Amino acid sequence: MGLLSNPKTRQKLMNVILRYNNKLCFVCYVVGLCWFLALAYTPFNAKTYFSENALLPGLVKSNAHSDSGAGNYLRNLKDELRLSKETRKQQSIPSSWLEAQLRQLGLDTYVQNFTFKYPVGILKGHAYQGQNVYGILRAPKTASTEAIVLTAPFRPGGSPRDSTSAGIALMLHLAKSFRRHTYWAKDIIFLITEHEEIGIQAWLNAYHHSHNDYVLAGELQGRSGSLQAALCLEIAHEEITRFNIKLEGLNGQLPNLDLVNTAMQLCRDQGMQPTLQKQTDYWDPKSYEGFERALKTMLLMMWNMAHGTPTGNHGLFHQYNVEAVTLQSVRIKNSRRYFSFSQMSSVVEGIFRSLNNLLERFHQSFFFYLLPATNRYVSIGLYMPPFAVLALPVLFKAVALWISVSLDASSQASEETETEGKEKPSQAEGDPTEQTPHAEDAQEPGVTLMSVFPTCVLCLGFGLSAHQAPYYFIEAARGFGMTPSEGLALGAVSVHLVAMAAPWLLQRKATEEGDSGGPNWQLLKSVSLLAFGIVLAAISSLNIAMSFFLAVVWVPVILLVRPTHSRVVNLVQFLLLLLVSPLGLVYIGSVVNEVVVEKVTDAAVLLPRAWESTQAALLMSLINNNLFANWTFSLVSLVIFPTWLMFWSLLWTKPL
Amino acid sequence: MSGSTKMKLFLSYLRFSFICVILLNCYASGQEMETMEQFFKSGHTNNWAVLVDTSRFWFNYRHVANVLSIYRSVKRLGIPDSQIILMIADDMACNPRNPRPATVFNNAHQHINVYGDDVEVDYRGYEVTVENFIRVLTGRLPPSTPRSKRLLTDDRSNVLVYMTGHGGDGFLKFQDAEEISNVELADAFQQMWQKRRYHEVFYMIDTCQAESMHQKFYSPNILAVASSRIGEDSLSHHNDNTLGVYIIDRYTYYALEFLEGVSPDSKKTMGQFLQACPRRQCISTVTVRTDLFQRDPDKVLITDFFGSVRKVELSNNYIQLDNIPLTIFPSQTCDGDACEKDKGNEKRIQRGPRMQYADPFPVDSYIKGVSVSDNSRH
Amino acid sequence: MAYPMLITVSAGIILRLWLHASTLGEWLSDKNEVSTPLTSWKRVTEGLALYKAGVSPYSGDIFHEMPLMLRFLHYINSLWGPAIYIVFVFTDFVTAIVLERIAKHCGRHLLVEQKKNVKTFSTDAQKILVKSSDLRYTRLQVVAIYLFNPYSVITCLAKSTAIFNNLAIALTILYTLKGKRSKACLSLAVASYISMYPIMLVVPTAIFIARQEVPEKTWTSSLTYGSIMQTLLCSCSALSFLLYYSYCLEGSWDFISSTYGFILSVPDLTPNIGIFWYFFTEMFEHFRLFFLCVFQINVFIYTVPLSIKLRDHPVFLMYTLITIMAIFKSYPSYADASLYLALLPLWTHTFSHMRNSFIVACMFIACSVLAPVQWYLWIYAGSANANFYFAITLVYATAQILLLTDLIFAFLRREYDLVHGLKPQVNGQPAQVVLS
Repeated sequence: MGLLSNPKTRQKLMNVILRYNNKLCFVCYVVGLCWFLALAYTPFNAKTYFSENALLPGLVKSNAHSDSGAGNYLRNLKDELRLSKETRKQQSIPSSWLEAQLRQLGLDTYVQNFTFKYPVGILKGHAYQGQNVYGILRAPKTASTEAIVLTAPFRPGGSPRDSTSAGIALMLHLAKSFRRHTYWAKDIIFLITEHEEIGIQAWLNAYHHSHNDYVLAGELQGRSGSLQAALCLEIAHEEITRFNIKLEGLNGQLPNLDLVNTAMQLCRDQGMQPTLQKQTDYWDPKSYEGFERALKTMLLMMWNMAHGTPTGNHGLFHQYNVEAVTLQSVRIKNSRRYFSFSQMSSVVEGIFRSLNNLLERFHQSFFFYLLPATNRYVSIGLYMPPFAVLALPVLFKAVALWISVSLDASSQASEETETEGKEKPSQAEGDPTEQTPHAEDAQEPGVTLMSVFPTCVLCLGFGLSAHQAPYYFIEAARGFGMTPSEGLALGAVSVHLVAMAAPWLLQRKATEEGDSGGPNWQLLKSVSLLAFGIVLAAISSLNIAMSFFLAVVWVPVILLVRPTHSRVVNLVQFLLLLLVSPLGLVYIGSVVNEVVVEKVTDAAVLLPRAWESTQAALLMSLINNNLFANWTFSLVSLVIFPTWLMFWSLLWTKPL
Repeated sequence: MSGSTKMKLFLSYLRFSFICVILLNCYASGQEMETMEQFFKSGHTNNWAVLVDTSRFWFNYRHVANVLSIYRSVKRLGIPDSQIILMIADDMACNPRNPRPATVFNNAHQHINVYGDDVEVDYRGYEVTVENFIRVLTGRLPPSTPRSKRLLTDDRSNVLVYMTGHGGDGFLKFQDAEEISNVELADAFQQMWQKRRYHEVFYMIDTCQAESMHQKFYSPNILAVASSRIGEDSLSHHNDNTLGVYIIDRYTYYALEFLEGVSPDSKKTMGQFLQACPRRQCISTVTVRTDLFQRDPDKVLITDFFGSVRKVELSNNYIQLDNIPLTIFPSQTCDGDACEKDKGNEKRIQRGPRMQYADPFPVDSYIKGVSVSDNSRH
Repeated sequence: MAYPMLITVSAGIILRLWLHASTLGEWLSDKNEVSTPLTSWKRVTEGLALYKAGVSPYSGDIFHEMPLMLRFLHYINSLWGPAIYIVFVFTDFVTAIVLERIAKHCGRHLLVEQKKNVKTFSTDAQKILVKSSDLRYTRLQVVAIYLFNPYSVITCLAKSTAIFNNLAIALTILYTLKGKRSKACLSLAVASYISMYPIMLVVPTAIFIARQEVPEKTWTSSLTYGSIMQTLLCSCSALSFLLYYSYCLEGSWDFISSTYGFILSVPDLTPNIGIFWYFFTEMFEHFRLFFLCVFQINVFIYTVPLSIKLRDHPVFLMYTLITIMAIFKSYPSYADASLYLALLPLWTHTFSHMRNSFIVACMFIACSVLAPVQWYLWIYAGSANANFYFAITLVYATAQILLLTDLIFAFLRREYDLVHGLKPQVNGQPAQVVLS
C-alpha cells in the first residue's frame, strides 16, 4: 500500500515504466520464453515421485500372467469378426459375442444402445447407431460404492486407426483372471465402446445422467458406484515393443500425476520402457541431445493439450473428475525385445491392484504439470513464473500506455490553464516530479474511455456472430453443393473479412463526416492489452499450453502494432496481424502439423494439404464443441477473435 | 477390585494350599545372593502391557502386524489378556483388500498368523484416539468402562508400552486425524507416577523420528527405546507380494527375532534386547534412554517387562506352618506327640500336620534357573 | 436529456427480458457469486412450497427470508407464476428510477452545500468547484451503470431477492436526501428488516435530517439531539413494528434464528465472494465464537470513526457505509456491489484525486473473469482447490477496499484542497500533500 499511496515512489515507478517499458517488454519476453523452454532440461525440473501412499505400486505378484488366455480370446474374437463380416456389410461391435463372453465369466453384463447425430447441417442430421458392452465385476467383500473402469474401444476392420482387438482380448482375459480373486475392494467395470470418443461419451453421459443434444445415450441397465479411475487400452498386437502412455484430455485437462506415475512404474517393473508422445527418454538427459529430446516431448505434450481435443478415450473421463490414461501399444520392427500378453496383463493387473488399494480419489499429486520425460515433471509452481514473465510485457505496455494517456490528458488540461494565465510556467517546471499540477494524482482519462467503448462492443458483437454463424454457413454451403467443411472454412474467411473491413469502413465514415474524434489509439491499445492479459490469465489456469502458445505468438505482434503513416510499416503490421489471426493460426498450425507429423516437405503439396486440414480442423472443432463440450471453438470465437479484432481496429485509428 | 487386593487373595490361596510362596522379601544366604540380585531387585509383582497401533488404512498393514506380533510375544511370555491393553486402529484381517481374509501375517510366505484365534482387541478402529490412550494410561476412564479396557496397575506394576504408527519430530499421528505430542506423553507418564500406577515402564516405539517421543520424559523408572533418531525414517522390513503390502517394520522385526529366543525362564537381559537391531539391519539408529531408569539394563531380565514371570518355587519339602487351627482339618491323623498335646487342650492352636504333595508334573525341569531352595515360613 | 434516459432505461429492460428468455438465468441462479443462501431463488421456492404445505419454512435449514418477505414473495408468485421474472425486471426498473432521483437530489444537495461553504474556500480552489454543468450526465451515468452493469444484470437474471434489499436501501437514500424523516425511517426499517446490516445507515440518516432541520448556528444544541433521537426512535419503532407483526403472523419468534441468527452466526459456509467462508472453514471450532464476534463487529465498527470524520457529509457517509456492508457482510454477492458501483458517479467531482482507479478496475474485471474459472477447476474438474478460489475472493475484497479507501482519500483530499488551495505551500515552497 505504501507503494501505491506514496506519491513519490509512485511517480518513480511510473517514470521507470514510461521510460524503459520497451526494453523491459523485450527482456521479459525473451527471458520468459527461454526460461519456459529451459524447464524441459533435467536440472530445471523435478523427478516424479508417488505422493499417494495408498497406491503401493508394484508390490504384488501377478496372478494373470498367461499368454494363452488372451491369445485364445483374440483368436475367437477374430473368428467372430470374420464371421460377421461375411454376413453384414457394415461392421459393428460384436456385442452379442462380447456380452456372452462377459456373462460367461459371471459378470453383470449389459449392452447400452446409443444414437448420435452431427450438429446442424453436417450430414443432414442423419442419426447413427452404436452399442457399448460392459460387464461389472462386483467387489466380493464390499458394497458397490466405488468402481474403476477398464475400457477398450472397438474399431472395425476398415478403421484408419490401429486395431484394438488385442486390447479387447487382453481385457477379457483379465476379466477372467480378476474374477477368481476376492481382494477387490472396488467394482471393476469392463467396458467396450463403439465409435471411439462418442461411445465413451454416451456411456459416461448415461452413467452420470447428464444430457447431450447430439449424443443420445440409452439408459444403463446396471450401474456401480462412483468412478474412481479408468484405464483405456489401445493394443493392436499380440507382441509389442512398449506402451505409449497418453494422458492429454478434453480442454487440456490432465489426469492426476500419481496415476501416470503408476502406469509408468508398472511398465518399468516388467522391463518395458514406457514412452510419452512416442518419444523414448534419451539415455543421457543432461546432454544437449537429451535436452532436445525432452523439449520435443514437452512441446508435443503441450501441442496436444493446446487444441483441447483428447488424445484418446481417456480424455472424456476427466470432465467427470475421473482420472484416466490410455495405454497404447507400440510395435517396432526388429525390436530387441517383444512383450507378450503375459507381460501386458501383468502391467494392467498391477495398475488395477494399485487402484484397488486407493482409499479416496486421486487428490495428492499434481493436476497441473508438463512432462518432458517419463520420469521428470514440471509442476505448476515451476512453469507459472516463466509464463508470468512471458506475459508480463502485456501488462507493462498497458500500464505505460495508460500512464502516457493520462499524462497527455492532464498536460492538455494544464496547457489550457496556462494559456488562461492563471498558472506560472516556471512553477510547473520547477519540480521534476510534479510536471503537471496533479501529476501525483494522475488524472483519469474518463471521458476518452468512452471513445473506446463502441470499438469493444463492435468486436464483441463480431465474436458473437462468429460463434453463431457456422451453422448458417453450413446450411448455405449445402445450397451451393459444397461440403460442410468447405462451407465452414469459407464462412470463417468471410467472417474475418467482414470483421476486418468494419473498422476501416467506420474510419472512412468518420473522416468523411470530418469527425476527428474516434478512439485514442493509446487508450484503445491499453484496453486491448488489458483484455488480452485477462484472457491469458484465465486460459492459463485452464489450459497452460494453449495460453503459452497464444502468448508466444501474440505478445510480440500486439506489442508492436500501432497506427502509423508509413505505408511499409502498415503493410508489415497488416501481414503480421493476419498471420496471428485465429484463422491464420489454425492454418499455421496445420502447416506445422503436416511438416512435423506427416513429414511433408514439398511446398506445392504442403500448402493445399494444410488448407484441407485447416478445413477439417474447423469442422472438427465445431463438432467437438457440440458433442463433447470441447471449448476450443467457443473460446476462439467468443474471446480470442474479438481480442484480435481490437488490435486490428487499432491499425485504423488516427496516429498521433 | 484393585490389583493389589486381587494379589493378596491369590497369596492367601497359595498359603492355604501349603505351597511355599517366596516373594520379594526373601532371605537368601551368601553365595546365592549374587545370582539372585537381578531377581530381587526387580521389585514388581505384576506385568502389564499397552500395545498401540495408531494408524489405519490398508497400506499401513505393517503397523497392525507390528503390534499384533508384539502382542503375541508378550502373551507367549505369560502376560494374560486381562493385563494387555491392545489398541488397533484398523481391522486389517477383514479389509476387503486382504487376499487372505481373517489373517494378519508378520512375515513373507505367511508363516505365522499373528491374528490367531484368541486376540482380544480392547480398543479398535475409531476408539483408538489420543484421549482414550491417555485415559487408559492415567486411569481416568468413565466408571462404565469394563475392566478389560482398563489399565489396573499399581505401584508394583511393570508396564510395557509399545507404540507404532506414523510420527514426526515430536508427535505421533493417531488415525490421520489427531496426534499425540511428546510433551503430552511425558506428562501422562508423570501422572501415572504420581498416581503410583507403575513401578517401572519400558517404553518402546517404532515410528519415524521416534527418538523425539521419549525426549521429554521426566518421570523416574522409565526405560525407553525408539526405532530411529530425529531426522531419520523408520523403514519397513519387506513386503509380501501375494498380499501386496509391506508386512512389518524393521525395528519390530528384529526385536521380535530376539524375543523369539526368549522363554519365560530366559536369562536374557534388557541390555541385550536394546542391542537387538544394529544400524546396518535397521537402517535407522535405535536410540535408548536409560537416564531415568534406576537399574542397569544389562542386569534387568527381559521378562521383567515382556513376561509375567512369578517368582514361584515349588517344593516337595514339608513346611511347618504355625497358627493354623487343627479344627479346620478334622479328619486328619496325628502322630504321637501332637496328639498328646491335643488331648491336653483341644482349643490350643496346633502345629500343622506333616503332609506331602505328590509331584504333579516335573516342574524342576521347567524352572531350572530360578532355584530358590529356602523354606522360609510365613 | 429525457431521450437518452428513456432509451437507456428501455434498453436495460429489454436486455433483461431478452436474457430471461434464455437459459442463462437458470445457470446463473446456481452461481455462488450471484445468489447466496440468503437470496437464492431456489431456496425461496423451497420455502414457498413448505409455506403452502402448511409447514413453517423456518423449521428447516433452507429458507432464510423474513416472514413478510415470504408472504410478499408468495403473493407475487401466486399472482405471476412462471412469469415472475417480470417482477424482478420491474423491481430493477424501479430501482433505476430511484437511483436517478438520488443522483438528481444529491447533485442539488452538493451545489447547495458548496454555496453555503464557499466563503471558507481558498481562492484558487475555483477550478475544483462543482458546476451544475458537471452534473449534467450524472443521472444518466448512474442509471446506465445500474442497468448495464453485468453484476446487476446477472443478479436480476438469477432472480436473487437481493434486488428488493437494494431497492429498500436506494429508497432510504432518496428519502433521506429529500429530508422526509418518516419515509426514510420506514424504508430504512424495511432494508434492515430484510438484511439486518442496513441498520447502520440510521446514523447518516439521522445526521442528515438533523442538519436539514436544525439551523446551522445551533448544531450543538439540544435541538440536534432531539432530531437525532427522533430519527433513531422512528426507525427503531418501525423496525420493531415489522418484527412484531412478523411475530404475530408466524406465531413464534423462531424465524429470528433462521434469519438474523443465520446472518450473524454464519452456519452455511458455502463459498461466496466474501471473506467469511474460507476463514471459518479453516477455523478450529473453539475459536469460532470469538472470531465470529470479531468479524461481525468489524462490519459495524467503521460506523463510529467514519461518522465522526464525515459528520459534515452524511450523504458520503451513507455511501461509504453501503460499500462497507457490501464488502464485509457475511453473505455478500455481486448484488451488493452493483448498488454502490451504480452510485459511484455521484462523486465524479472527486475522481481527479483518485489514484488507484486503474488498478481497481483491472482487479474487478480480472476477478469477475477468474472467479468462475477457478470455481470450475475446483468444483467440477477437481484439479484445483479451495485456495485458488479463495485467492480470487481475496483479490475481490482487496479491490473493493482499495476503491473505498481511494474514494475516501479523494473526497477528503478535495475537501482539503477546497480550503487550503490547490498549491499548498510550506514556508513559501510548493509542497506536496502526503497521506501517511
